[in-house]
Amino acid sequence: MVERDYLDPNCPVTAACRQAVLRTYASLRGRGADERVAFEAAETVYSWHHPEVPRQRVPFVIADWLP
Amino acid sequence: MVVEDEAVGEAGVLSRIEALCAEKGLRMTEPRRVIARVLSDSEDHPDAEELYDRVKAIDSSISLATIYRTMKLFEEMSIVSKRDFGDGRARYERKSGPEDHHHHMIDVESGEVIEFYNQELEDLKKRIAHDLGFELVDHHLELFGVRRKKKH
Repeated sequence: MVERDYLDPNCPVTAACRQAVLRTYASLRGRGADERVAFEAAETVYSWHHPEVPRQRVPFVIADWLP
Repeated sequence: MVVEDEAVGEAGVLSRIEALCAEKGLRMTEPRRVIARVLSDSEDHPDAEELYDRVKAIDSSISLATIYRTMKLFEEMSIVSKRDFGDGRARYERKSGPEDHHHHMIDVESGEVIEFYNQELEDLKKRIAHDLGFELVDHHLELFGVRRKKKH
């Protein structure tokens, strides 16, 4: 699966990206934001780090990281 | 997302999905069972967002991430097939009340989220809605950016 390529824990860019995605989601949820809002924000953060990943694939990638 | 064998009648689709899951050796957790049931009961072809709405009405503990993970799993195991999602993005509604109204500035590099409120922005949005012939009832705004480098 293509999205597995972006889960390489040895990739520092992906590690930073994952941390940013998790932080965005957790911060927004922690502040009472709707789950969709937090999820979409996390998608946008991921896309900024990985513009090469087609937008429609992004939710499936970050879903593996989020609760 | 659609069940691959659409010839199966509505009442039998759920059994079909569960049978397929069993056939593929997929462990049926409660969220998977709920998602499968909702898919079976759907007469249309819901995307993940619509599915989330319907699943949430049955079990509010099931997250959007769980929906995406489950649908990916179902697709990988050929239990469902994916259709074109269009632009793939739902238009989200914010549920916070007017008393805690605020927006978010999000640092895409770090994921830091800063809440802000700006009266000028509020007035501008109302004016735009008014000029377009609407009374503003709801909105949300997330700004995404990278921090400006400090000049020395």
